[in-house]
Amino acid sequence: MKKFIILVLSIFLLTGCYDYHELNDLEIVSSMLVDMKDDKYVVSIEVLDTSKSAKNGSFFLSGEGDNFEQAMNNIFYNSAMTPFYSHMKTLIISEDVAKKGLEKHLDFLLRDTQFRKDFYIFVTDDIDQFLEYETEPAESIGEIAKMSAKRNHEKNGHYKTSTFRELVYHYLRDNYYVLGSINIKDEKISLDKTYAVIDNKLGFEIDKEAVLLENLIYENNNTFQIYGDYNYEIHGYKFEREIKEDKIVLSLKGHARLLDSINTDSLDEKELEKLEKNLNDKVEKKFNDIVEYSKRMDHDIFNFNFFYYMYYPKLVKENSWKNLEYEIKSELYISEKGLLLNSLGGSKDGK
Amino acid sequence: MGNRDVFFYSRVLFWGFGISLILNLTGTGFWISELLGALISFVILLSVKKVNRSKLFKKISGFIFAFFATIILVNMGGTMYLRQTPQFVLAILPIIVGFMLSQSKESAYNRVVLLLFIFSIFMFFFAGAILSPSLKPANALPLSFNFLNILKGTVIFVLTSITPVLCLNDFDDKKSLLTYYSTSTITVIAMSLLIVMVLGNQEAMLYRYPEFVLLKRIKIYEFFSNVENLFVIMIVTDFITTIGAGLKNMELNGKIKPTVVIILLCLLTSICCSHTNIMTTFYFYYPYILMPLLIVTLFPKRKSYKKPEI
Repeated sequence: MKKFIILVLSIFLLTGCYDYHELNDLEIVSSMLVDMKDDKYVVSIEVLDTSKSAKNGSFFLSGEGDNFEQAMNNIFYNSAMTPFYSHMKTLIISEDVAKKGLEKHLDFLLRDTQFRKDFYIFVTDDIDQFLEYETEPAESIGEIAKMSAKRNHEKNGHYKTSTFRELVYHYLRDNYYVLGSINIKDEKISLDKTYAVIDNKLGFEIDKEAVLLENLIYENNNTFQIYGDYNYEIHGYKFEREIKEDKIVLSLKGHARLLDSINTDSLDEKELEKLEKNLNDKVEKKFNDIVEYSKRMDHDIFNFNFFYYMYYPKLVKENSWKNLEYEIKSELYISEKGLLLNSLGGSKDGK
Repeated sequence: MGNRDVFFYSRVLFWGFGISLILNLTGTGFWISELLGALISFVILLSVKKVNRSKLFKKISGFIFAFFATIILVNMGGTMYLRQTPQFVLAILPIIVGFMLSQSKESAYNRVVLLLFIFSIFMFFFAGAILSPSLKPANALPLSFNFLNILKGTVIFVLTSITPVLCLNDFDDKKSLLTYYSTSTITVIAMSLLIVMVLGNQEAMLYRYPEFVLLKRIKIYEFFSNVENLFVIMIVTDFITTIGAGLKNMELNGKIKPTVVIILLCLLTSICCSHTNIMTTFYFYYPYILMPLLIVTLFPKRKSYKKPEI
C-alpha cells in the first residue's frame, strides 16, 4: 500500500507539471536592445522565427517603461508567449544608456537565473537601424554579432568587447573594462570602435593598438597582425605578466610569419635577423607608448593597479600603478617567410 | 563495510550554507579555514570514543538534520529552477524518498548508498575535469590572512562537517567512518577551490548557492552545455541520504508516527522556505543551532551511580 501511494504521488509530482516549459509557448530570444527615448527605457527583444513560412530569421518585440525591469515586464505582458532568455547571444545598448551608467541593469541580469553569463555586450549610436534590419531565414542579429566578435577576438585582436561574465568580473573589482561598438554599414553588421568604460559609464574611444595590448593581457586572442614596411602574423605566442614590487614586466614570446612574399627570397640570415630586431623594437616601442599614454591620461585602462594588488595587497594604493616601472620585452622569432615557397620575382627570372 | 552514508551527511550542510558562509567570512583565506577545520575535525573523530545515543537525543537530532536537509534542498530547487512549484510539493518528494530509504533493510540501504557514493564520486571528478580549463589561479589572489575571520571560518567548518557525523552515527566501525569522512572533506575543499578559482571570490560571494552557479559553467564547446541539472544530482543525493539517515535515527515505527513526522516536516519546510527572512536567519545562525547539538553529543549522560544497599 505504501509503495502504491508513493508511486501515485511520484506520477503526479515528478512529471514537472508546475514548471514545465512547452517549446511552442516560448519565444527564444537571440538578442536584446536597450535604448532610451523621452526619458523612458525602450527594450526590444529579437525573437527567433522558426516557422516554415518565415521570410526573416527573427522579429522584434518591444516594451517601454520607467526602468529596465518595467520595460522587460511590458514585453512579457504584451506578448502571447513567454520570452526565454537562456539562449540570448547579444545585448546591444545605445550609447545614451551606456553613458548614463550600466550598474542598474547588472543586478537584474545577474540575479535572474534564466540569463546565461556568456552573452556579448555591444554599444551602438543608432538602435533603430537594428530594428529595421532584415535577417535571412535561420539567421539572427544576435548570432551574427556574437560570431563576428568571437572571430575577431581570436584572429585579429584589434577589437574588443566584453561578455557579461567579463563585465561582472571587472565591475566587482572596480576595474576598467571595454565595450565594442557595432553598426550596420551597407546592409551588413560590422564591428566598429572600442570604448573604455569608466565607473560603469561609457568613456573614450581606445586606439586599436591599445585594444591589442588589452587582448594580449587578458589572453583573448590566438593570432594577431602587425602592419608596416613588412606585414607579420604573430602566432603560437605567450604573453606573460610578471608583477614585481617596483615594476611590471610584460613579455611577448612567439613566432612571426612574414605575410609578404615578393621580396622575401632576397632575405638572407642577416637580413632576417635585422627584420626580427626591427619587429621586436617596434612592438616594444608601441606598447611602451601606449602605457605612457594611459599614465598621462590618468586612466588605468589595463588595470595594472589590480594586478599589483593581487600580489602586494599591503603595498598597493590608489595610484600605485603610476609609480611603477614598466618593462616590455618582445622576443618574436620570424619562423616562416610568407605563404609561398618562392617569390614572384624569383620565379620570373627563372632562378 | 558500513558508514558509507557518512560521506553524504558530513557534507550536506555545506551546500547552500557552509561554503557560502565561509567564503563570505574569510574571502580568499577560505582554504586555510577549511584545511584547519578538516584537521581539527579529524582529531575530534579520532579521539571520540562514545557519543550520546539516548533515544530522545537521537529523535531530536535526526529530526533537525532531516529538516535542515529538506529546507536547503527545497530552497535551492525553488530558487534555481522550479520557481512556480509550491514549496510543499517540492518538499514531499525528497521526504518520502528519504523515508523509504530509512525503512529499508540494512543490506538494501547499504547497497543503495554504495551506488549513490560511486555515482557522486564519478560525477564530481567528471565535473572537475570539465571545469579544469576554466580554472584561473589568479582568482584565488590576493591571499588573505585575517586571523579572526579564519578562526571563525574554521569553527564553522568543524561544526558543519562533524556535528551530523556525531549525531547520526553509531560509531561501530571507526576505520570506515574516518575513510568516508576524509573522502567527503576532500570533496568539500576541492569544491570550494573550484568555486573560487572558476568564478572568482567576489562573484562567488554574491550567490547563495555558488555550487550550482559553478555547475552552470560546465561546457564543452557548444554541444555539451546547459547540463547543470544533471550534475546537481550529485548534490541532491546528499540531501536525500541525510533525510533518510535523520528519519532512520528517529526510529519511526507504527502507522501514525511516520505520517505525523512527514506532514510536520513538509509544513515546517513550506513555512520556512516561503519566508526569506526565516531562511536568512537559518543561513547566518545555523552554527549556533549545531553548537549545542555537538556539545550534547560529545558529553553523553553518565549512568547514575547507585549506592549499594547495606
